[in-house]
Amino acid sequence: MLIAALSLMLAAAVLAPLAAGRLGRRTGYPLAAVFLITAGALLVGAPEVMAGGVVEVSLPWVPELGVELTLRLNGLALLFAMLVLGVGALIMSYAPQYLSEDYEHARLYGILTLFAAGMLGLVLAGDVVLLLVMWELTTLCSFLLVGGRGTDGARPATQALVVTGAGGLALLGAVVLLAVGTGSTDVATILATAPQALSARELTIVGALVVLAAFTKSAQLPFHFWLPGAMVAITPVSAYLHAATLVKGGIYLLLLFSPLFAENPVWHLTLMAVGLTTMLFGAFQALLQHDLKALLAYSTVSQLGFMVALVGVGTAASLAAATLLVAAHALFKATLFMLVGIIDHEAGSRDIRRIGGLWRAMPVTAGLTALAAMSMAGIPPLVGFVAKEEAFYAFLGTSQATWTADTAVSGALAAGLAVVGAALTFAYSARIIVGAFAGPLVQTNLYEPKAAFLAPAAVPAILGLVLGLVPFVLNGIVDRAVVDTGFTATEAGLALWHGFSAALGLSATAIGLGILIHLRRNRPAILAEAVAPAMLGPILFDRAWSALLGFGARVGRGAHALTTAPHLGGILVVLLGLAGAGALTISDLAPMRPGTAQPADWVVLAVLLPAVLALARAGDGMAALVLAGTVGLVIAAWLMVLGAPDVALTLLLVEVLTVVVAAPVLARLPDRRGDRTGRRALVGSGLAGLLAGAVVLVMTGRRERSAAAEYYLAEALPATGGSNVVNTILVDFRGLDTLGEIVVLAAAALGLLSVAGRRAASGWQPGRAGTLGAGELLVLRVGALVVLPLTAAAALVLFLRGHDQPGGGFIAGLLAGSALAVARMSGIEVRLPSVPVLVSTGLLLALAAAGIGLVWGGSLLEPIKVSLPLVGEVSTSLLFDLGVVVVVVGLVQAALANLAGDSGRAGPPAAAAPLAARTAVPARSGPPAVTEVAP
Amino acid sequence: MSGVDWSTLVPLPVVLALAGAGVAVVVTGRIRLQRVVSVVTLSLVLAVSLALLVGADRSGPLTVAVGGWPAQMGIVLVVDRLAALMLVVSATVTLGVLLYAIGQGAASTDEEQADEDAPLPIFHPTMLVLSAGVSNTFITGDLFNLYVGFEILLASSFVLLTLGGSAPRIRAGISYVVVSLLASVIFLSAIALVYAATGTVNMAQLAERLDALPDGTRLVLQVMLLVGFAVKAAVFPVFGWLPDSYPTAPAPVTAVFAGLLTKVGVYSILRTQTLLFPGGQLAELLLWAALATMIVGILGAVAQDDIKRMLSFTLVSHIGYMIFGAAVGTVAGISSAVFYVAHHITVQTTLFLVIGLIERYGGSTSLTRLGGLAKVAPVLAVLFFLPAMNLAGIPPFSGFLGKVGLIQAGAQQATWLTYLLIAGSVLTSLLTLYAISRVWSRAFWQAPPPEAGEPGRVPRGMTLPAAGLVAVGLSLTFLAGPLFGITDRAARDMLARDPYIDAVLPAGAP
Repeated sequence: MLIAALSLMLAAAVLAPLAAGRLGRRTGYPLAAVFLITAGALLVGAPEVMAGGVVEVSLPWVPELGVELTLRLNGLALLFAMLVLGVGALIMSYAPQYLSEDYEHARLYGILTLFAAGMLGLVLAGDVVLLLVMWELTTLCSFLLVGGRGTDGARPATQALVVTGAGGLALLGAVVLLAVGTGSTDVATILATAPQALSARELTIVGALVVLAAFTKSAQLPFHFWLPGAMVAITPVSAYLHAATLVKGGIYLLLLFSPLFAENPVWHLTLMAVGLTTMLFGAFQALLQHDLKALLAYSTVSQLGFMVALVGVGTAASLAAATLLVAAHALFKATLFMLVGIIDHEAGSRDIRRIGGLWRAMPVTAGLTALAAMSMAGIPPLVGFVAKEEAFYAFLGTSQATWTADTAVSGALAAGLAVVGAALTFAYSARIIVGAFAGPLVQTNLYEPKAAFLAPAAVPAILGLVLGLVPFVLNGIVDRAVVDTGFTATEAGLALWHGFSAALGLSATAIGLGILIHLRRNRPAILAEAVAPAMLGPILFDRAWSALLGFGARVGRGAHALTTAPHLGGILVVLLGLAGAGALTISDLAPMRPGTAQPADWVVLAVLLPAVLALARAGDGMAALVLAGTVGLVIAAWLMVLGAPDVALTLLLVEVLTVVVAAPVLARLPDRRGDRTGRRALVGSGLAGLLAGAVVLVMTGRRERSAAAEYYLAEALPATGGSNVVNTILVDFRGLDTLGEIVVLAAAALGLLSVAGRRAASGWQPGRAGTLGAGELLVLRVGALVVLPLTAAAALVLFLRGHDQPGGGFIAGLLAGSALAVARMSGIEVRLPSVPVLVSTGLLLALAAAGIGLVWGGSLLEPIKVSLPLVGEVSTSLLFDLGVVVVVVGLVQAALANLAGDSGRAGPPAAAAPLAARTAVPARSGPPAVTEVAP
Repeated sequence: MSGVDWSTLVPLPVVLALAGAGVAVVVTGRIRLQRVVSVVTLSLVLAVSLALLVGADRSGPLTVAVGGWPAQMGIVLVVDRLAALMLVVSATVTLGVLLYAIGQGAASTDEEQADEDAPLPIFHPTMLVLSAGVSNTFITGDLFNLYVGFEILLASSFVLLTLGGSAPRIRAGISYVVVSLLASVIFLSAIALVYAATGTVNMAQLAERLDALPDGTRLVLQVMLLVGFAVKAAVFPVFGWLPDSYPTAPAPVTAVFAGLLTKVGVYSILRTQTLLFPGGQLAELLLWAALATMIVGILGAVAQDDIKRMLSFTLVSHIGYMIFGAAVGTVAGISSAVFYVAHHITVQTTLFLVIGLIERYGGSTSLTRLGGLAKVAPVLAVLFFLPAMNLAGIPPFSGFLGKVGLIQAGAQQATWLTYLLIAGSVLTSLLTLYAISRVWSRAFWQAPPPEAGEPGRVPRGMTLPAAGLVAVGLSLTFLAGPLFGITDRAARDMLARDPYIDAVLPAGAP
């Protein structure tokens, strides 16, 4: 039944926009009916609740986090649910009259109904996570409803979202602490076990977080300012969310969790102090407003403070008064908002200085307004009076609360402050009535609105009167609610007439004082000064907020560097700091194995060191390229000496090709010989080098040959048929790595084409940077014609023997690529398939070899040996290696094409003599204008 | 293993994507065919990934020794629950992005959206290569092969970042590639040192051998790997490159980068910190890094004027959440971090796609040039609002659930540092909400500025995939129960280490 009720509301929220497409603004009527049906469904459970039972239902949601969808209906929930649905139904039947034909009905009704569902879920939630979900849902709906009016609404909506959102996060913190502490997310379990399961300190933190959440939602000082701001919303929204229901969410939360803090004086004193202060502040502010809606907003702030203070008193009587006040306030404040909306609608203004004498034109409206305002002012026989009497009575009895045992708290002082608040309330209530309705009529052509418009406002106004006359009908529900907040059943004994009591005296005092204030209402300046300090809240909020945003802007700028260097510096610093610190802790090293260093190493170092230093200081790209190439060649030679000819050959070829490809590119870049590597960069990279050297020293050469190495040496020939262990690792044992690497090469080739092609299209004319004399070209050509076939043959040989002797796919591909480079430089056209065809063919060949292994061998990349006629036994790893060759050639081709500026399709090869060209470009920015300078 | 040998499927996410890429390059001339190839390929990858998730969840880690060599001699591929989940999520968003890009390309007529007019239509094959690289990092059980996966990612992402070759993209690409190469160098050096110190790069074997190393040596290796991965994951203080390079790329590219690339770094951190370096030696350091990442990232976000840059900063910020979970290092922490990764991949990708739609409608991604979109494009408003609120962690969305899990995990540890982290994550949430609501009120509510032109037309082909991903993001909320079930089991296995090690090296292996 509870699930049905909530589902019905959610379904209505989904269907409302659809219905609005047909019904337009009249969608409100069927929605009002849905609200009433939902209320009826809940009332089915009312007898059980009134008998002291609880209706509960639960579905699993995220059992791993212990989160369930538990809905629970008790007295407190029932009271709030009835308010949500009842006031909701009234608002829904008010809206069709209020809205214009061309309003965004679908949006409004959808979100408003969703809000109602969220509010209903909030009060029914029996699981703290679900509670949180619903809490935030109402916050979001409020944001959307306030901001929906376009530009004016955006700022207040955001402000409200930030303030109440912060509260929601505080609630999240409280929920998590409770859930972790008690091991449950069930509200009832938490309430029962938290005082034992959590330490006093933890409980206080939870209390602070709950208070923060409640204060933001219920607009208590200093978070109150979002509520008056939210008044930019349309009247149905203000009446429903920001008077009757949403802002009561905080009160509900305080009531719900108050059993946890029954003995905690800090909790109670905080609530009382903040509540009463807010009450007085809000009432002062209300008195200063000219806009009726703003007046009502501050009045709401004030009344919410009143309720918070009552919850803070923490006696059965005070909680009874608080729940009654919640109900009474919902009735009179919703009425007042709706009526102010009507006045605005009819008279075109809600400024108290521009309207007046409406009594003469709209007597029914005026009468209803007066009725509601009198309830707010606490005048008998209205329900507001009953609630206020109960409240005074409760304040006077503060000292009966158990938490006051060690605290000197004065109930009389609290009651006195409440009386002042009530007097101010009386005064601003009087201001509404006198300001809007008394005096001469200032406008003409004013008429009473039609009954359908007035009826939704009339119902709660009259209900306020009826309940004031027979308040005892509320005894049952108020009792249940008080029991649900942790008290044993007491008889609330609500009555209009309690006899001549102290509370009655206070009521009379409040009214008398209120009349006095009303008579002196034209001296608002004194009041303004009195409340000035309280305006600090919004000012501080704005200041802190803009300071935060300013800081954020600085952070944002820092990361927008436009150059790469700052990013690298950070990484190096972190690496040096952390790894350096780690390296200092290294101890217990295994001894270095003999023979890891050779005399020849010193020679290598002697050559490398100056080259590296010069490289670091080189300000000129071309010089750096040459030096980097030199370093590479030295290392290649070193590797050869160490006995790694495959690696050495590969490195050698890569260095050569790098120079061939990069030099022409560098030649076209602006001359930056003036730029020197900065000192910090030098120090940083120097330290990084030292660190690298240190860790290499301590980590390498201190263990036996690894199991994998032994295995490769022993098993390569028998298992793969190849005796070149390096090559068998590449194509057999770790073929997947090689596959990955050729994919990298293929992607790089495609990328080169993409970038180069666009450059060509945009008029960038690369490639023909140098000019060669005819004689030089002839020499090159003749030489190339001799060299090319030889190189091609060498590549073929290296490829075929690769499995057994130094060579293999990478080396063969690189060599073939070098040949292509030579051909291109000497203007010889070598017809090859296009780059995309090359890389895809290579990739697919390698994948085919991998797939054959999977299909015939049962494992991806497993080498399969086939006996072919004439050739003999061939392994699929040869096919794989062929794929490597083709992709490598494709990449070199793409790189050369990039230089030539064509996009890899057929085109005339460019005659490029890269090293001969020297480019000087005056300007640093913009597409470089290429100036050719012959050497 | 009951009947079905799931492990046959293990290499397929990589192999299929690569084969698809090869074919897609062959058919570059025929755009339509190329699209069919890539969509079919990624759909197959997704199907395989789902099967792997089922398999891994039923029968524990699935392993394949590539080439049939003994485990520690060749390369082993391992799909456990963590890897399988990552595969499914990444395949899903990649497919979504691809469909979106197709929708964009099909409707691309104007000069501005010229990505498909590039000299060669290489977007599709490169996306497939990227997908293969991402999958490779998830399924590999070999540290060096993980590096190869990173290289594939790097090469393909560089190509995608510079698509079209405009000057800002080339500049961003250079920043990106240089930073990534530095990270790769660090990573590669770390691998070399790991091999030097232990004689293996097989991760299961490393898990056993690293334990035997002296503390200081192990710490240096751990730190070096961590720094390498942290750069990829954009963790404070090595995150600056990300907001500097991502926003310039075309929308689908930024979307897939934002969703996946940083998560590969996070995945690697999760994997190595649990499997190779258990015991949480660096937990405190990671917690501080997580805190700083969250706060600095989100502060960067709140001040941005450009939505893409703003989202790039929130991306950084939310990486902090995942590091938080990883640093807490309990089952709850790891589980929530994994959950958050899955959530964040989906949501962040979706948001960038939606920003692409906004760019189409409003002609800009600058908040000062947008306005009034709620009126002219209500569907777009919904498509933005839902994932945006999900990102901000508003209940009941998955972002909220992930955050609850993380905060619970932090509260269970109950040290003052984890409480500080909780406070930081809550503050981050609030500021995320603010940043998002700022976009919302400026771009959707505020009246459009006078210089704004007529709203552009957005093809349904772009809207539908974006809507599909929005729906996927929402479904995470409803599937949160089962999903947390998987991540819990994954976390338990990760922390226990034995299931992984035993699967790769059956008892008795050297």
